[in-house]
Amino acid sequence: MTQRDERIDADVRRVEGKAFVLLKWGVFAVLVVRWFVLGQTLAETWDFFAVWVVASLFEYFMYALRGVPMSYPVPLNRRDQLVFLATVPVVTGLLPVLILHLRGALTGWGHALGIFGRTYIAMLALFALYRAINAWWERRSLK
Amino acid sequence: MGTVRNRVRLSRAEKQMTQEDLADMVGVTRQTIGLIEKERYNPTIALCLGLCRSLGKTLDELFWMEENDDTER
Repeated sequence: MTQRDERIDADVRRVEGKAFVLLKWGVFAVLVVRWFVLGQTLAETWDFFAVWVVASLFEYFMYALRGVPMSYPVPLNRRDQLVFLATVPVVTGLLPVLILHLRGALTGWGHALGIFGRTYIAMLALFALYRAINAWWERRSLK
Repeated sequence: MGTVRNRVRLSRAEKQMTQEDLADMVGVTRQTIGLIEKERYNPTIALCLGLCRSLGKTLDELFWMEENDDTER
């Protein structure tokens, strides 16, 4: 027989949340050190990378499924939302191009444009999916 | 334990406020007000008191407990 206590349950969830944040950013730090300090490739670190991507995507989509606004806790008006949508995918697309350029791995403008384009579209797709799931949650939960 | 019921939607309508107005007054999102009105989220006592103050009601006018019928067990 179990006996639930709301205060203890809330504290357990809080501790687990902090442990998850620690693990997520710890794995990310491990990846950064392996890639940029030890010079390892993605193929050599795929196991850590897969864990990190799955955990991050799980977190992202669970927020969407629970009706958390994308920019929470910062409230955005219509204009701010458009600025956010216009700038974040561009910055995300430029980041891998810049990293590859600094490592001397870019083979030309076509390569750079291809990397930028794919990242930009992937980011827009993630945003669109989040928005669609949020709208579905709102229809299901609030209407 | 029973189910927490509330009269938030009715009280908000009496005050002719939108969910967004009430959300701004108590410092939560419009979605959270929607969930409270649908009785799908139990607010903390601090939020309950904030809602009471914003809607001009007492705690027991706005929230009450409905006992679950456990007689079949």
